[in-house]
Amino acid sequence: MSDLLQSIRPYLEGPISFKAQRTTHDVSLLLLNFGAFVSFGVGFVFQSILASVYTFVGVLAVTLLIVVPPWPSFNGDEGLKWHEPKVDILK
Amino acid sequence: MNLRQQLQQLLTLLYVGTSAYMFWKGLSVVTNSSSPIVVVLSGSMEPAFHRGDVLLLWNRNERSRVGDVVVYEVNQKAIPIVHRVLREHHNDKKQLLLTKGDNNPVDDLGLYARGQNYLNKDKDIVGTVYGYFPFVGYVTILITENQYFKYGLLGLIALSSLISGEE
Amino acid sequence: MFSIVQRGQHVLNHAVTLIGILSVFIALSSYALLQQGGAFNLPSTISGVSPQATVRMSRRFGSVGSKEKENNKLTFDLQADLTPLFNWNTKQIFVYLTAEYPGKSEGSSNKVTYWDKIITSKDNANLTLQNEKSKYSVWDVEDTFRNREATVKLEWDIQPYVGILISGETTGEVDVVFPTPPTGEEARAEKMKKRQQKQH
Repeated sequence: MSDLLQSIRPYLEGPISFKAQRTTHDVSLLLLNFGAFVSFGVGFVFQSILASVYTFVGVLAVTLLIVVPPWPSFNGDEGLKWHEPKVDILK
Repeated sequence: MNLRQQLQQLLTLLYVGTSAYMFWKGLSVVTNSSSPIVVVLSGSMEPAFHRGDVLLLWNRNERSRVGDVVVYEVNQKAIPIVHRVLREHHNDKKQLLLTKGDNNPVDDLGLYARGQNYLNKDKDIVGTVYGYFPFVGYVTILITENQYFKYGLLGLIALSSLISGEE
Repeated sequence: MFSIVQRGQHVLNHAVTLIGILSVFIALSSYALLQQGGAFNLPSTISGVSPQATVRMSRRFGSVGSKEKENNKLTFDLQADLTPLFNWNTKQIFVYLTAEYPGKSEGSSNKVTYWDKIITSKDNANLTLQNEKSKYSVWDVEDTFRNREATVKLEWDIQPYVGILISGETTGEVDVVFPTPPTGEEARAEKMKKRQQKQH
């Protein structure tokens, strides 16, 4: 049971590199804030709260799609040299 | 996981619980209402309020006005009712109210206690509705009324704690 | 932001915060729009108000222990354009015709609803009613409330999609005096008259 969990964990976890973590954080904030602003404008102009809701839900869906999955480009080589571990802690 | 970590988790859980309770009671004091936030459970006020909508209450007004939407409890029955004030009669000491649901054909006389002809503002009214947020309370209805949803949610929580457990 | 769950949680958290802020702004903008459209000063014309009184003995009409309880109804004409109450945050408006009259004792007052209507669309918000009958048969806390002078008004209550419930009244108002119900004999005579009219 725990072996099975261990084997599927990387897929469920979907880790990304630390630079990509920063990028996704910035992108998500920017997209959502902008989306909220736009959806208020759209709703106000058309005098329809539904237009506002649809716009925001659309932006949210796009943001989730861009930010959440561990896209291959989020795990590129970051040109960092890690120190070799001096002691093998797994032993 | 060692004992210290387990205790720490317990502490976090207690912290979440107590702060939610404090927020609730604090709001109670500010609004002077025993239940400052309610979830609509019936369709008797449609199309204004649907099941699952969240209402914010205020109970520091001296008198209710005709047309106000109020939440009241009759004889400490478990379910609070959200209806509109149809008539009010007051003097310096007290105020009597007759209510009706927008979507109901008749007034609430049949819902009141036996022999009760009016609601008493001071005794029966939990609060006057002043704020509204749609739909978010539907989760509580699902949890209390739909067992599949309840167990599904519990299962999901258990699964996520298994997967994200500390190594 | 390391794992899928963390990223999803972060995005949804922020979205919820924004929805809250957005709701506040929507509510504020709708209040500003109402102010701008003169919603708190809407004109209305109430006329031809004619109240009729009856005596009822059933619990549904406020009678306790089958004691005689005075009820009254009324017919009225109404003209009011409530379209300024509609903007992007208006889900429905609840319009109601009230009568306010003093009670028997000093400092007491009463307000009752005779008629109400739910309007969910801007297209139906321009009201013109002729000889409209009251929806409710009204009784008082006392057994009778004849000869009291009442002020009849048209009021409204806006149910928003999100935010604060806003209410107000239109400017038109008219004074009426509650009538005395016909005595038993008068009522019988009235019934006979109606029956005869039907036969002809």
